[in-house]
Amino acid sequence: MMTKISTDKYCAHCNSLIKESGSIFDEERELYFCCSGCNAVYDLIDSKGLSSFYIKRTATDYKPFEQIKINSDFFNKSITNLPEGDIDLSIVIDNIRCASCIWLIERSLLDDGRIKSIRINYSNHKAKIRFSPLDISIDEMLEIVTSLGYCPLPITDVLSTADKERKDYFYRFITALFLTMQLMLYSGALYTGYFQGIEDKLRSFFEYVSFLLATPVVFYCAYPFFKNSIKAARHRHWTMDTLVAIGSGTAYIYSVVAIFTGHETYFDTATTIITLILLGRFIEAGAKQRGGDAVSKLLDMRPLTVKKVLNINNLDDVILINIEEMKIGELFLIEEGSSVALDGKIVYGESDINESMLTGEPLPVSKSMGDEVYSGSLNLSGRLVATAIRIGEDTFLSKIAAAVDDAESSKADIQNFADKFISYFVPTMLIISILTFIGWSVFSDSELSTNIMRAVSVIVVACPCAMGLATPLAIINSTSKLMNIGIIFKNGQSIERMAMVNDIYLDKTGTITESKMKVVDYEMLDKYKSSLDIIGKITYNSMHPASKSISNFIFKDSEYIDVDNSIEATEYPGKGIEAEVDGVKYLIGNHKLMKDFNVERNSIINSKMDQYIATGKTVVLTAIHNKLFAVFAITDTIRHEAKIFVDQLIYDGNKVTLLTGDNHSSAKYMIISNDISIDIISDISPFDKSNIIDRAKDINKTCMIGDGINDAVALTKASVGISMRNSTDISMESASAILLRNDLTIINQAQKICRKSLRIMKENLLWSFSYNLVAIPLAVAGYIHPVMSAAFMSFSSLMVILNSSRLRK
Amino acid sequence: MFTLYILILLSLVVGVTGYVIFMYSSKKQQFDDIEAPKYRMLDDDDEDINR
Repeated sequence: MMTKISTDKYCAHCNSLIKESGSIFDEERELYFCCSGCNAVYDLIDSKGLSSFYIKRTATDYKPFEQIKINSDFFNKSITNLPEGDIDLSIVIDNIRCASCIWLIERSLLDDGRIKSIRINYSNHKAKIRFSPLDISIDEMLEIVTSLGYCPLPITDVLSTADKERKDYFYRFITALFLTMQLMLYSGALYTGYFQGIEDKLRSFFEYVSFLLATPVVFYCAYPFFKNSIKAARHRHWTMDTLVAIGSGTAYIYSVVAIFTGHETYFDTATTIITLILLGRFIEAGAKQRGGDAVSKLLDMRPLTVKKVLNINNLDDVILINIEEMKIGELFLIEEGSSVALDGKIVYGESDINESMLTGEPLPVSKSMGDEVYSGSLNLSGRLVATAIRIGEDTFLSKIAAAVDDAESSKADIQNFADKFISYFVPTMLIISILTFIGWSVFSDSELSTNIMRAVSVIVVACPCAMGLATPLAIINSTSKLMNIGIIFKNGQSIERMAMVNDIYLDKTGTITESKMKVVDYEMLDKYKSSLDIIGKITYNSMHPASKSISNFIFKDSEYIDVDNSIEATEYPGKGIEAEVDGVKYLIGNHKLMKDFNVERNSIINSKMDQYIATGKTVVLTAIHNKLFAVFAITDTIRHEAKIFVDQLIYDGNKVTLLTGDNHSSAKYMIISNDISIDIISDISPFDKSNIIDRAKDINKTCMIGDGINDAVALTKASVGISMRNSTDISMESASAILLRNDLTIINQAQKICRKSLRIMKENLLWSFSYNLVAIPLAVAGYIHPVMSAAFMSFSSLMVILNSSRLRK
Repeated sequence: MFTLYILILLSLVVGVTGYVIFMYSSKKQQFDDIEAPKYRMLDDDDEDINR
C-alpha cells in the first residue's frame, strides 16, 4: 500500500476524498467521514470490536479502473461449442478483489438478460460463461465486464498432469474406501459366524455380496497397479506396483475360488490393501504437486496480456494484446501496480520494482531509463514504457522455471543406489514370499488359506514405496526452498555434493568484491598525454571490469564516445590487452603482460606503481612502443556481507581460500583492512585456479565460487561450482548452482539447507531399510496379517513424506 | 430372514446413492470453489428487497 503524503483527508470507511460540504468529523477519534452512512457503518464495525478490518483490508486502491479495449480474437481458444448451439467461454478475470466483485460481475451479466449462465470461481478467478452467439457477441459481452473495470483474459481449460494424477487417485481412493467400508459389514458378520456358527445359506449370500463389492475395487481402483506392473513386466522389470498387484490379486483370486470350494474368503484383505495404498499414493501425489508448485507459481506471475504502445508520445494509445503476439523491439506499457509481462529495457519513466519472486531480494529496486525489467516482477510506483528485449522461453523467468523444473526431476546419486536396490529387492521378495508359502505348507499343518495369506503379507509389507520416495521428495522440497532464498541448483547431485563440501575457493573480483572498479589515481608521462584517448577506446571494447573502469575514468566527462570498433586487440586472460592503433602497438595490463613483452621500465611509473600496490590498489600499466608510460590505480569495493559470509563459512567447518590474479600485497591489504581471515593464493591465471582445485586434498569436497565467464574452468573442475549472477543468462553450463541475486550470505544458507537435505535423505533411506528389516521377518514368521502389512507399508511412506516436508520450513 | 435381505439391499442402495451423488457433484466441480459460497448468502439482490 502506498501512503500518500498530502493534506487531503479521506473517509475512514470508504477512503474517498473528503469534500467540505456534508462531511463529518469525529473529533474524539480524529476520523473523517464522507457521509453519515459511512459513519454509521464504521460505528457498527467498531462496536463489534472489528475495526482492525480497516488495517487488514488489502484492497485500498479505490481509484476507478481504466477502460481496456479487448480484442475478441484472443478468446478463440477459450471457446467450447455446445451441441445446442450455445457457447461456453472460459476466462480468467483480472482485478477481482473480493466476493462482492464476483457478485457484481455475475449480477450485471445476468441482468443484461442475454447470457444463459455464469459462474465465477472465487479462489482462482476463473469464470465460465454460457451464452448463445445469436443473442450476444463475445465482444459485447466482454465489454460489459470491462465496463465494470475488470479485465477478462483468455484461458484454456487444461489441468496440469500432476493435478490430473492427483484427481485420478482421489476418485479411485474414494471409490475403494466406500466399497471397502460396505464390505467390512459383511466381513464382520462372516467373521462372527466363523466362531459362533452361521447358516450356510446366509454365509454364501454374504460371500456373494462381498464378491460383488470387491470386484470393482480390484478392477477399477487397482487398475493403475495392474497396468503398471504388466508394463514393467514386459520390460522384465519389477516395481513396487508388481508387489501390490500380486499381493491384492492373490487374495482376490483365492477368495473367488474359495466361494465355490466352501473355504474362507479374503475379499476384505484384497480391498483394504488397495485402499490403504491408494491413500498413500494420493498423499504422495499431493506432496509432489505442492513441491512442484514452485515452478507453476513462478509462471503464474507472468501476465497473459501486454499493453502494446503504438505511439511513444501518447501513452494512452495502447492496445491490449496477447503476450505471444509481442515481438522483440516493440514497446509496451507497464502500469503502476501491475506485473511486468516481458523482459524489457526501460525507455521512459522511473519506478520501484519488486523482484522478490525472481531473486528473493525483499527490497524493491529502483529502476529508470536504460535499466532492464524482468517478466514476473511487480511495478510498484510509476508508469513505465519498455522495449521488449526477450520474449517467450528466453525471458529470465522462463529460464529460472526451466532450470528449477530440471533440477526437481533429477535424481541424487544416493537415489541411484536405492533404485538399483529396489530392482533386486522386488524379485527377491517374490521368491521369499513363495518360500514362505512352501515353508509353512510343508513344515506346519496350518490351512492352505492361512499360508496364502502369510505369503501375501510378505509381498505387501515389503513394497518399497518409502524407499522410492526417500530422495525425490527431499530434492523437490529443497530445490523450491533454495529457489526461494535466491539460488538454483542444477540437479539433485549438486545438492547432495554441496552438502559434503568443506573446502571452498573464492574468486576475488566480482565475487567478494562488487566488481564496480574505479580508477582512483593515475600517473602518466606528460609527453604521452594525447594517447589517453586511444587507451580509453581500446579499453572501451573490452569486457574486463578493470578495462571498463579505465574507459569510464577517461570518458567520464564526455557525453558521446566515438567508439572505434576497428581496433584490433588481443586479450590475454589474467594479463591484459595488446592492441595496434594506427600502426602503434599499445599494451594495457598487469606486470606479467609487461614482462612477457619485455617492456622497458620507467623509474617514475615503477615507483608510483609500488606505492599503489603497498596501499592495496590494483594497478594497470600501459606501454607504448614497449615503453611504460602510464599507471592506473584501481580499487574495488568489497561486498559489505563478505566478512559475515567468510566468518560463517569457517564457523560451519569450511576451509576458505581466496584465489586472485592480483598481486599478493594488494589482495592482502584489502583482506586485512576488512578484517577477514582467509588464505590467499595470488598472482595466478584463470587456468591456475583449476589446477589448484585439482590439487585439493579431496576434490569431492571442493566448491568454487566465482563468476561464470572468467572462472568457467575452475567452476567445472570443482565438485560444486557456484556462479554469481552477472546477467540474465542462467544457463548453467559451467556452474552447478547459480545465485539469483549477488548476496554471498545465500551460500551460507544454501549450505545449511543442502546439509539438512542430505541428512533427511539418509534418514529416509535408513528408515525404509530398517522398516523392511523388521517387518519382513515378522511377516515371514506369520505374525502380520495382510491388512496390517498394508497399513504398515502406508505408514512407512507417510513417515518419509512427513520427514521430507521438514525441509519446507 | 426375508427382512434381512431387504435391509441389506436397502443399505446398499442408500450407500451407492450417496456415493453416486458425491462422485457426480465432485466431477461437476461442485467442490472446486469452497470459498465463494459462504459470501454468496450475503449478496442480497436489490429487487427482492424493494418488492
